[in-house]
Amino acid sequence: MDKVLLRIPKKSEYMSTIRLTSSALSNLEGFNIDEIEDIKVVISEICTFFINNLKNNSDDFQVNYEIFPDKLVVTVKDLNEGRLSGDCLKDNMSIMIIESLSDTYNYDLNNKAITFEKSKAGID
Amino acid sequence: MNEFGKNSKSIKNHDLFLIYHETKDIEIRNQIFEKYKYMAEIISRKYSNRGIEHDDIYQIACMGLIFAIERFDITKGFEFTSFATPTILGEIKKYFRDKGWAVKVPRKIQEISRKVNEYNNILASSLHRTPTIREIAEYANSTDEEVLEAFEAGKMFNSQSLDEKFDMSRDENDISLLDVMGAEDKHFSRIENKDFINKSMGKLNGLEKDIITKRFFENKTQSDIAKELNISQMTVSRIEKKSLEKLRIEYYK
Repeated sequence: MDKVLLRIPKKSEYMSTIRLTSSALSNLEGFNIDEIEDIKVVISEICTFFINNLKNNSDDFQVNYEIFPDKLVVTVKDLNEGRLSGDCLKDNMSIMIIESLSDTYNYDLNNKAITFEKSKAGID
Repeated sequence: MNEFGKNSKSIKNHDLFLIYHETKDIEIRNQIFEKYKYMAEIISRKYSNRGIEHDDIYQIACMGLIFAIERFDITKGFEFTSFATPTILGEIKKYFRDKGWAVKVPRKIQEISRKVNEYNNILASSLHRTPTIREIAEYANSTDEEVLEAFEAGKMFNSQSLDEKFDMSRDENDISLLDVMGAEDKHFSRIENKDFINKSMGKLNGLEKDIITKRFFENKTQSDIAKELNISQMTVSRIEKKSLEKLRIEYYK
Protein backbone atom coordinates (compact mmCIF):
# COMPACT_ATOMS: atom_id res chain seq x y z
CA MET A 1 0.00 0.00 0.00
CA ASP A 2 1.34 3.42 -0.96
CA LYS A 3 0.45 6.59 0.89
CA VAL A 4 0.32 10.12 -0.39
CA LEU A 5 -0.23 12.99 1.99
CA LEU A 6 -1.30 16.37 0.71
CA ARG A 7 -1.48 19.42 2.92
CA ILE A 8 -3.02 22.29 1.14
CA PRO A 9 -4.59 25.67 2.07
CA LYS A 10 -8.35 25.72 2.51
CA LYS A 11 -8.89 28.16 -0.32
CA SER A 12 -11.03 27.75 -3.38
CA GLU A 13 -8.16 28.48 -5.76
CA TYR A 14 -6.45 25.28 -4.60
CA MET A 15 -9.47 23.13 -5.43
CA SER A 16 -8.13 22.44 -8.91
CA THR A 17 -4.85 21.24 -7.42
CA ILE A 18 -6.70 18.78 -5.20
CA ARG A 19 -8.78 17.60 -8.12
CA LEU A 20 -5.78 17.23 -10.41
CA THR A 21 -3.81 15.34 -7.77
CA SER A 22 -6.74 13.01 -7.24
CA SER A 23 -7.20 12.33 -10.91
CA ALA A 24 -3.47 11.85 -11.47
CA LEU A 25 -3.32 9.30 -8.66
CA SER A 26 -6.42 7.44 -9.78
CA ASN A 27 -5.15 7.36 -13.32
CA LEU A 28 -1.87 5.96 -12.07
CA GLU A 29 -3.82 3.21 -10.37
CA GLY A 30 -5.69 2.29 -13.56
CA PHE A 31 -9.18 3.55 -12.79
CA ASN A 32 -11.35 4.11 -15.84
CA ILE A 33 -12.51 7.57 -16.94
CA ASP A 34 -15.91 7.25 -15.26
CA GLU A 35 -14.41 6.23 -11.97
CA ILE A 36 -11.84 9.03 -12.11
CA GLU A 37 -14.63 11.54 -12.72
CA ASP A 38 -16.54 10.11 -9.76
CA ILE A 39 -13.50 10.43 -7.53
CA LYS A 40 -12.97 14.05 -8.58
CA VAL A 41 -16.60 14.94 -7.90
CA VAL A 42 -16.56 13.25 -4.50
CA ILE A 43 -13.33 15.01 -3.47
CA SER A 44 -14.73 18.37 -4.54
CA GLU A 45 -17.94 17.73 -2.64
CA ILE A 46 -16.10 16.83 0.54
CA CYS A 47 -14.18 20.09 0.34
CA THR A 48 -17.39 21.98 -0.45
CA PHE A 49 -18.99 20.39 2.59
CA PHE A 50 -16.21 21.64 4.86
CA ILE A 51 -16.15 25.08 3.30
CA ASN A 52 -19.90 25.41 3.81
CA ASN A 53 -20.02 24.03 7.33
CA LEU A 54 -16.78 25.16 8.97
CA LYS A 55 -16.41 28.88 8.60
CA ASN A 56 -12.82 28.98 9.84
CA ASN A 57 -10.39 29.02 6.94
CA SER A 58 -7.01 29.88 8.39
CA ASP A 59 -5.69 26.35 8.63
CA ASP A 60 -5.19 23.75 5.92
CA PHE A 61 -6.91 20.74 4.45
CA GLN A 62 -5.09 17.49 4.88
CA VAL A 63 -5.81 14.97 2.12
CA ASN A 64 -4.68 11.44 2.73
CA TYR A 65 -4.55 8.99 -0.20
CA GLU A 66 -4.11 5.30 0.51
CA ILE A 67 -3.48 3.35 -2.63
CA PHE A 68 -4.37 -0.34 -2.58
CA PRO A 69 -4.04 -2.68 -5.55
CA ASP A 70 -7.81 -2.72 -6.14
CA LYS A 71 -9.08 0.43 -4.48
CA LEU A 72 -8.35 3.96 -3.42
CA VAL A 73 -9.13 5.26 0.07
CA VAL A 74 -9.17 9.01 0.50
CA THR A 75 -9.56 10.94 3.73
CA VAL A 76 -10.04 14.69 3.79
CA LYS A 77 -9.46 16.33 7.11
CA ASP A 78 -10.19 19.95 7.95
CA LEU A 79 -7.48 21.15 10.36
CA ASN A 80 -9.34 24.30 11.35
CA GLU A 81 -10.83 25.04 14.75
CA GLY A 82 -14.57 24.63 15.10
CA ARG A 83 -17.32 22.11 15.61
CA LEU A 84 -19.46 20.19 13.22
CA SER A 85 -22.94 19.37 14.45
CA GLY A 86 -24.80 16.25 13.40
CA ASP A 87 -27.55 18.40 11.93
CA CYS A 88 -25.43 19.59 9.06
CA LEU A 89 -25.38 16.05 7.62
CA LYS A 90 -29.15 15.84 7.25
CA ASP A 91 -30.43 16.40 3.72
CA ASN A 92 -27.08 17.82 2.82
CA MET A 93 -26.53 17.94 -0.93
CA SER A 94 -22.79 17.25 -0.69
CA ILE A 95 -23.28 14.26 1.56
CA MET A 96 -25.85 12.82 -0.84
CA ILE A 97 -23.52 13.28 -3.77
CA ILE A 98 -20.70 11.61 -1.85
CA GLU A 99 -23.02 8.76 -0.90
CA SER A 100 -24.13 8.37 -4.47
CA LEU A 101 -20.76 8.34 -6.16
CA SER A 102 -18.46 6.56 -3.73
CA ASP A 103 -18.51 2.89 -2.82
CA THR A 104 -18.46 3.51 0.91
CA TYR A 105 -17.94 6.63 2.94
CA ASN A 106 -17.46 7.53 6.54
CA TYR A 107 -17.51 10.71 8.53
CA ASP A 108 -15.77 11.52 11.76
CA LEU A 109 -17.36 14.69 13.11
CA ASN A 110 -15.00 15.03 16.07
CA ASN A 111 -11.89 14.91 13.91
CA LYS A 112 -13.64 16.79 11.11
CA ALA A 113 -12.70 14.13 8.59
CA ILE A 114 -14.55 12.37 5.78
CA THR A 115 -13.21 9.16 4.28
CA PHE A 116 -14.40 7.46 1.14
CA GLU A 117 -13.46 4.34 -0.78
CA LYS A 118 -13.62 3.68 -4.46
CA SER A 119 -12.90 0.26 -5.96
CA LYS A 120 -11.81 -0.42 -9.46
CA ALA A 121 -14.45 -2.02 -11.64
CA GLY A 122 -13.96 -5.75 -11.92
CA ILE A 123 -12.98 -7.05 -15.31
CA ASP A 124 -16.11 -8.71 -16.66
CA MET B 1 -74.12 -33.91 -92.89
CA ASN B 2 -72.93 -34.35 -89.34
CA GLU B 3 -69.76 -36.05 -90.44
CA PHE B 4 -69.13 -33.28 -92.86
CA GLY B 5 -69.76 -30.57 -90.29
CA LYS B 6 -67.33 -32.06 -87.80
CA ASN B 7 -64.76 -32.51 -90.48
CA SER B 8 -65.03 -28.98 -91.70
CA LYS B 9 -64.66 -27.76 -88.09
CA SER B 10 -61.51 -29.71 -87.49
CA ILE B 11 -60.10 -28.63 -90.78
CA LYS B 12 -60.91 -25.12 -89.84
CA ASN B 13 -59.08 -25.49 -86.54
CA HIS B 14 -56.22 -27.17 -88.31
CA ASP B 15 -56.01 -24.21 -90.67
CA LEU B 16 -56.19 -21.75 -87.83
CA PHE B 17 -53.17 -23.36 -86.19
CA LEU B 18 -51.30 -23.31 -89.48
CA ILE B 19 -52.07 -19.65 -90.00
CA TYR B 20 -51.14 -18.80 -86.41
CA HIS B 21 -47.90 -20.74 -86.72
CA GLU B 22 -46.92 -18.56 -89.64
CA THR B 23 -48.31 -15.15 -88.77
CA LYS B 24 -48.34 -15.23 -84.93
CA ASP B 25 -51.37 -13.00 -85.25
CA ILE B 26 -52.96 -12.37 -81.85
CA GLU B 27 -56.41 -12.21 -83.50
CA ILE B 28 -56.01 -15.78 -84.73
CA ARG B 29 -54.75 -16.89 -81.30
CA ASN B 30 -57.80 -15.35 -79.70
CA GLN B 31 -60.02 -17.28 -82.07
CA ILE B 32 -58.29 -20.56 -81.19
CA PHE B 33 -58.49 -19.69 -77.52
CA GLU B 34 -62.24 -19.15 -77.71
CA LYS B 35 -62.66 -22.55 -79.31
CA TYR B 36 -60.73 -24.37 -76.60
CA LYS B 37 -61.68 -22.29 -73.58
CA TYR B 38 -63.91 -25.12 -72.40
CA MET B 39 -60.79 -27.20 -71.66
CA ALA B 40 -59.51 -24.67 -69.17
CA GLU B 41 -62.94 -24.63 -67.59
CA ILE B 42 -63.15 -28.40 -67.19
CA ILE B 43 -59.64 -28.81 -65.87
CA SER B 44 -59.81 -25.92 -63.45
CA ARG B 45 -63.06 -27.25 -62.00
CA LYS B 46 -61.19 -30.38 -60.97
CA TYR B 47 -58.90 -28.30 -58.80
CA SER B 48 -61.36 -26.07 -57.06
CA ASN B 49 -61.97 -26.44 -53.33
CA ARG B 50 -58.34 -27.18 -52.68
CA GLY B 51 -57.43 -23.98 -50.97
CA ILE B 52 -57.19 -21.66 -53.94
CA GLU B 53 -60.11 -19.69 -55.32
CA HIS B 54 -61.68 -21.25 -58.37
CA ASP B 55 -61.40 -18.00 -60.33
CA ASP B 56 -57.66 -17.93 -59.76
CA ILE B 57 -57.25 -21.50 -60.94
CA TYR B 58 -59.38 -20.79 -63.97
CA GLN B 59 -57.18 -17.87 -64.85
CA ILE B 60 -54.05 -20.00 -64.49
CA ALA B 61 -55.68 -22.68 -66.66
CA CYS B 62 -56.37 -20.06 -69.33
CA MET B 63 -52.78 -18.97 -69.23
CA GLY B 64 -51.78 -22.60 -69.61
CA LEU B 65 -54.04 -22.83 -72.60
CA ILE B 66 -52.38 -19.82 -74.22
CA PHE B 67 -48.94 -21.32 -73.58
CA ALA B 68 -50.17 -24.53 -75.18
CA ILE B 69 -51.38 -22.64 -78.26
CA GLU B 70 -48.04 -20.88 -78.49
CA ARG B 71 -46.02 -24.05 -78.27
CA PHE B 72 -48.25 -26.35 -80.30
CA ASP B 73 -46.77 -27.50 -83.58
CA ILE B 74 -49.52 -28.74 -85.87
CA THR B 75 -47.03 -30.23 -88.32
CA LYS B 76 -46.11 -32.98 -85.82
CA GLY B 77 -49.53 -34.43 -86.47
CA PHE B 78 -51.04 -34.71 -82.98
CA GLU B 79 -54.36 -33.48 -81.67
CA PHE B 80 -54.20 -30.13 -79.94
CA THR B 81 -56.34 -31.32 -77.01
CA SER B 82 -53.91 -34.10 -76.11
CA PHE B 83 -51.11 -31.56 -76.12
CA ALA B 84 -52.95 -28.87 -74.22
CA THR B 85 -54.24 -30.97 -71.31
CA PRO B 86 -50.86 -31.73 -69.71
CA THR B 87 -49.70 -28.17 -70.36
CA ILE B 88 -52.68 -26.71 -68.52
CA LEU B 89 -52.41 -29.27 -65.73
CA GLY B 90 -48.74 -28.44 -65.39
CA GLU B 91 -49.43 -24.72 -65.03
CA ILE B 92 -52.03 -25.34 -62.36
CA LYS B 93 -49.77 -27.66 -60.42
CA LYS B 94 -46.92 -25.20 -60.69
CA TYR B 95 -49.19 -22.52 -59.30
CA PHE B 96 -50.19 -24.72 -56.39
CA ARG B 97 -46.58 -25.47 -55.69
CA ASP B 98 -45.23 -21.94 -55.92
CA LYS B 99 -48.05 -19.62 -54.97
CA GLY B 100 -50.51 -21.69 -53.03
CA TRP B 101 -48.65 -21.58 -49.74
CA ALA B 102 -49.79 -18.95 -47.30
CA VAL B 103 -46.34 -19.01 -45.77
CA LYS B 104 -43.33 -19.68 -47.93
CA VAL B 105 -41.90 -23.03 -46.96
CA PRO B 106 -38.56 -24.26 -48.28
CA ARG B 107 -38.94 -26.61 -51.22
CA LYS B 108 -37.23 -29.44 -49.38
CA ILE B 109 -39.69 -29.26 -46.51
CA GLN B 110 -42.57 -29.09 -48.98
CA GLU B 111 -41.43 -32.32 -50.54
CA ILE B 112 -40.97 -34.05 -47.20
CA SER B 113 -44.37 -32.78 -46.14
CA ARG B 114 -46.01 -34.37 -49.14
CA LYS B 115 -44.24 -37.66 -48.53
CA VAL B 116 -45.05 -37.64 -44.85
CA ASN B 117 -48.75 -37.31 -45.59
CA GLU B 118 -48.51 -40.19 -47.99
CA TYR B 119 -46.66 -42.38 -45.49
CA ASN B 120 -49.17 -41.42 -42.86
CA ASN B 121 -51.97 -42.85 -45.01
CA ILE B 122 -50.01 -45.97 -45.94
CA LEU B 123 -49.09 -46.73 -42.35
CA ALA B 124 -52.55 -45.95 -41.07
CA SER B 125 -54.09 -48.59 -43.34
CA SER B 126 -51.43 -51.21 -42.66
CA LEU B 127 -51.41 -50.69 -38.90
CA HIS B 128 -55.17 -50.09 -38.62
CA ARG B 129 -54.54 -47.11 -36.36
CA THR B 130 -52.98 -43.72 -36.51
CA PRO B 131 -49.23 -44.17 -36.78
CA THR B 132 -46.89 -42.49 -34.33
CA ILE B 133 -44.38 -39.91 -35.38
CA ARG B 134 -41.63 -42.40 -34.64
CA GLU B 135 -43.15 -44.99 -36.99
CA ILE B 136 -43.49 -42.46 -39.77
CA ALA B 137 -39.92 -41.32 -39.21
CA GLU B 138 -38.67 -44.90 -39.41
CA TYR B 139 -40.70 -45.56 -42.52
CA ALA B 140 -39.52 -42.35 -44.17
CA ASN B 141 -35.97 -42.96 -43.01
CA SER B 142 -35.72 -39.55 -41.40
CA THR B 143 -35.67 -38.13 -37.91
CA ASP B 144 -38.61 -37.39 -35.65
CA GLU B 145 -37.89 -33.67 -35.87
CA GLU B 146 -38.05 -33.66 -39.63
CA VAL B 147 -41.40 -35.41 -39.60
CA LEU B 148 -42.80 -32.98 -37.05
CA GLU B 149 -41.47 -30.08 -39.02
CA ALA B 150 -43.01 -31.46 -42.16
CA PHE B 151 -46.42 -31.78 -40.49
CA GLU B 152 -46.17 -28.25 -39.25
CA ALA B 153 -45.12 -27.05 -42.69
CA GLY B 154 -48.04 -28.82 -44.28
CA LYS B 155 -50.43 -26.62 -42.35
CA MET B 156 -48.79 -23.53 -43.79
CA PHE B 157 -50.62 -24.02 -47.05
CA ASN B 158 -53.63 -22.32 -45.60
CA SER B 159 -53.75 -19.58 -43.07
CA GLN B 160 -56.30 -20.35 -40.41
CA SER B 161 -59.19 -17.94 -40.29
CA LEU B 162 -59.76 -16.06 -37.08
CA ASP B 163 -63.46 -16.23 -37.79
CA GLU B 164 -63.42 -20.00 -37.87
CA LYS B 165 -66.21 -21.32 -35.68
CA PHE B 166 -65.85 -24.06 -33.16
CA ASP B 167 -68.87 -26.11 -32.45
CA MET B 168 -69.79 -25.87 -28.82
CA SER B 169 -72.37 -28.62 -28.65
CA ARG B 170 -73.85 -27.61 -25.33
CA ASP B 171 -75.36 -24.33 -26.35
CA GLU B 172 -76.11 -22.55 -29.53
CA ASN B 173 -73.36 -20.01 -29.41
CA ASP B 174 -70.46 -20.88 -31.61
CA ILE B 175 -67.13 -19.57 -30.56
CA SER B 176 -64.80 -18.23 -33.18
CA LEU B 177 -61.06 -18.51 -32.92
CA LEU B 178 -60.87 -14.77 -32.47
CA ASP B 179 -63.02 -15.00 -29.33
CA VAL B 180 -60.68 -17.38 -27.59
CA MET B 181 -57.43 -15.88 -28.76
CA GLY B 182 -55.36 -14.70 -25.83
CA ALA B 183 -53.90 -11.25 -25.78
CA GLU B 184 -51.18 -9.94 -23.58
CA ASP B 185 -52.61 -7.83 -20.83
CA LYS B 186 -50.57 -4.66 -20.85
CA HIS B 187 -51.80 -3.73 -17.41
CA PHE B 188 -49.87 -6.55 -15.84
CA SER B 189 -46.56 -5.21 -17.01
CA ARG B 190 -47.66 -1.73 -16.02
CA ILE B 191 -48.38 -2.95 -12.51
CA GLU B 192 -45.10 -4.77 -12.42
CA ASN B 193 -43.21 -1.72 -13.65
CA LYS B 194 -44.90 0.50 -11.14
CA ASP B 195 -44.15 -1.92 -8.36
CA PHE B 196 -40.55 -2.15 -9.50
CA ILE B 197 -40.12 1.62 -9.61
CA ASN B 198 -41.69 2.08 -6.19
CA LYS B 199 -39.48 -0.55 -4.67
CA SER B 200 -36.22 0.28 -6.34
CA MET B 201 -36.56 4.02 -5.89
CA GLY B 202 -36.33 3.27 -2.20
CA LYS B 203 -32.75 2.18 -2.75
CA LEU B 204 -31.81 5.64 -3.94
CA ASN B 205 -31.02 8.53 -1.64
CA GLY B 206 -32.93 11.81 -1.73
CA LEU B 207 -30.73 13.48 -4.30
CA GLU B 208 -30.67 10.50 -6.63
CA LYS B 209 -34.43 10.15 -6.42
CA ASP B 210 -34.84 13.85 -7.04
CA ILE B 211 -32.64 13.79 -10.13
CA ILE B 212 -34.25 10.66 -11.59
CA THR B 213 -37.72 12.09 -10.98
CA LYS B 214 -36.91 15.45 -12.54
CA ARG B 215 -35.02 13.89 -15.40
CA PHE B 216 -37.37 11.10 -16.43
CA PHE B 217 -40.76 12.00 -15.04
CA GLU B 218 -40.63 15.73 -15.59
CA ASN B 219 -38.40 15.47 -18.67
CA LYS B 220 -36.02 18.20 -17.57
CA THR B 221 -32.54 18.60 -18.96
CA GLN B 222 -29.44 17.96 -16.91
CA SER B 223 -28.49 21.63 -17.00
CA ASP B 224 -31.94 22.71 -15.79
CA ILE B 225 -31.69 20.30 -12.88
CA ALA B 226 -28.15 21.47 -12.13
CA LYS B 227 -29.34 25.08 -11.96
CA GLU B 228 -32.28 24.12 -9.75
CA LEU B 229 -30.17 22.18 -7.28
CA ASN B 230 -27.24 24.57 -7.50
CA ILE B 231 -24.72 21.91 -8.43
CA SER B 232 -22.75 21.40 -11.63
CA GLN B 233 -24.24 19.73 -14.68
CA MET B 234 -21.43 17.19 -14.58
CA THR B 235 -22.43 16.14 -11.09
CA VAL B 236 -26.02 15.71 -12.26
CA SER B 237 -24.78 13.61 -15.15
CA ARG B 238 -22.64 11.44 -12.90
CA ILE B 239 -25.36 10.91 -10.34
CA GLU B 240 -27.92 10.17 -13.03
CA LYS B 241 -25.60 7.55 -14.47
CA LYS B 242 -24.94 6.04 -11.06
CA SER B 243 -28.62 5.93 -10.17
CA LEU B 244 -29.56 4.26 -13.43
CA GLU B 245 -26.83 1.74 -12.81
CA LYS B 246 -28.28 1.03 -9.38
CA LEU B 247 -31.77 0.62 -10.85
CA ARG B 248 -30.38 -1.66 -13.52
CA ILE B 249 -28.76 -3.86 -10.91
CA GLU B 250 -32.09 -3.98 -9.06
CA TYR B 251 -33.88 -4.89 -12.25
CA TYR B 252 -31.65 -7.81 -13.11
CA LYS B 253 -31.53 -9.11 -9.57
